[in-house]
Amino acid sequence: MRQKNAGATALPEEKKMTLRQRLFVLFTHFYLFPLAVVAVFPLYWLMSTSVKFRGNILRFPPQWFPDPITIENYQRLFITNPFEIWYFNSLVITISATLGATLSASLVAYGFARLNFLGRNIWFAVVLATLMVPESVLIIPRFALMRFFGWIDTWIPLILPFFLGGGAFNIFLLRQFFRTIPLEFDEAAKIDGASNLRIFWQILLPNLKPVLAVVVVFTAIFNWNSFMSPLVFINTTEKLPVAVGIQMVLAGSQAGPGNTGAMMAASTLITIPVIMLFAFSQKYFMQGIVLTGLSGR
Amino acid sequence: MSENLEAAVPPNRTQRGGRLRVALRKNFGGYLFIMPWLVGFFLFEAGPLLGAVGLSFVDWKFVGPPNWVGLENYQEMFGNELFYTSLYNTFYYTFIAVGLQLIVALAAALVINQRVWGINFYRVAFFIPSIVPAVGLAYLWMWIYNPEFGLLNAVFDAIQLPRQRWIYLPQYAKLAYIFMSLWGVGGTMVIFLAGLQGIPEVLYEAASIDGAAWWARFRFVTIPMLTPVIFFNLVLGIIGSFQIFTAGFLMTNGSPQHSTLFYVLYLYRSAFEDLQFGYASALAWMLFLIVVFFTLIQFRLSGRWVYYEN
Repeated sequence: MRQKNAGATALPEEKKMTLRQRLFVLFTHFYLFPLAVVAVFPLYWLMSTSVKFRGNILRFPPQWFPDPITIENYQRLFITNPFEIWYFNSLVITISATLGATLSASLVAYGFARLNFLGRNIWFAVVLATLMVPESVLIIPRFALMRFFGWIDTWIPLILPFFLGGGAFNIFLLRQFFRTIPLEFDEAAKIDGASNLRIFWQILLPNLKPVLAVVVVFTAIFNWNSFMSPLVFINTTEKLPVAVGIQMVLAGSQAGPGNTGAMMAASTLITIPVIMLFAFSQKYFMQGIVLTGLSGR
Repeated sequence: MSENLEAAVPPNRTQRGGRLRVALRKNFGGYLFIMPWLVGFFLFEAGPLLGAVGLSFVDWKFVGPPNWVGLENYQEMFGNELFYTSLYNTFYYTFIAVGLQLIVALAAALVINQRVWGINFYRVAFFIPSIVPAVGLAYLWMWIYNPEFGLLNAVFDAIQLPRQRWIYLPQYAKLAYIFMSLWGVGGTMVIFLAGLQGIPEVLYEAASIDGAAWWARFRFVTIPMLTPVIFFNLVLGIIGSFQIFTAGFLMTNGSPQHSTLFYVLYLYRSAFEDLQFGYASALAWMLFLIVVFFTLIQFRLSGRWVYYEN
């Protein structure tokens, strides 16, 4: 698709390696492997602590491998908190918002990339400028606005904005990618009498799968991890997404090192879907990132 | 006069109507497609941004009508010690963290940008920490920094260094946050990786023919070709770091001695704990101006060091 890349994966003609090259590969693994262990270790620490007994958690020097393994921390978490409700809430919010953002951002990006209209460049500059506006700057007036509409303590403030635009970064990303598809596609379809919407949906969008995967994964992770908005907009415990839910309860009476096990269990459970999502889309994801012209060109 | 007008208007109007119709038809499609964003922009971005200006001039406890107080909120802000403390904490965090993040992310991107069997394993391993939810991240690192049972002190014990109180000590707390942020540079790293893969192989070959060793190739090919990506990461990194909130809110909530009272945490407290919406809006606008200021400065300076093809 692009010019030959410096870091593409091993090419087939390179099957026969010289001794020098073999040594080089070995050396690379020799220093990369410890680095990878260091990078992943905190994650291992999170998960392994979550399956330790309380007595083994509060030990110094620490127990490197959980022995024996227990699920008591998970049991405690579900008994003391409506954890499964929070989890379900997060799923609904994340899926709705991601769906809205992906749909809306691709429509808008198509408009900016493929259609001519008065003021297009100015509006696109405005899209990019909104990247500069921190969420925290808008949170108070948004709170007032949502209250005016009567949407406080509902999920609407967490979902609706994603249907309206889908995020400046996503629009930017998708527009860049739309522009890499030859214009002849559109023109040929137009001669055959296809409408804009049809060109968008049937001709261009199927070509966008890798970058759509990036948008879906980024947006889903963003929403799943989102903290400040639900903290501000939702009051009822049963309506909270899991990120804010665990904070509310664990910060109260259950706080302290004695409750570390439950905290680690909760953190593990909130992390697993994100890692699974990434694992499933990994191939598309890496491909998409490389192809999107994220490189600022 | 009126007869004249009546006589003159009809043809004129049809003409104008025709042109208008053509213009409408030409522009209608585009505006239809960007309409969702336009509505969202006015409702949830531009509207609130202007709303924040208005709110910053009133005293409002959220119940009852707002009271016009003019510049009082700003006077209070500039006279409040916590404003300067939170600003200092945030600048301290941002400039050190973003600098280190760029270095670590670039180094990581360089080592995973190799044609070696199994390299994808390392790419995933380095990237995955960056997608851990902020809440999980906060609890995990609280546990790692725990003075009594924490992993970090275990490591320090093992290499015979004195144990520390990390996030519970004013002089280390911010550094602990910075260190923690380095664990999550995977996103920046991947963007660097994409940039590295966009550098044409030809340039390296040409440099090698000219006798450039790896350092010279890095210094005179990689770095110049990568400056647009460095710039991109720098701008977004600074905007993002100014907004540090979740970790600070959960781990130390501003303590010890306000050493981790970051700006947005202060803003959040003023608004949703002290219920001073007017004052908090003044803080919000100040933050917006600071972010815009630093972004514009970077764009200004970028001409001196960012290399663009064409």
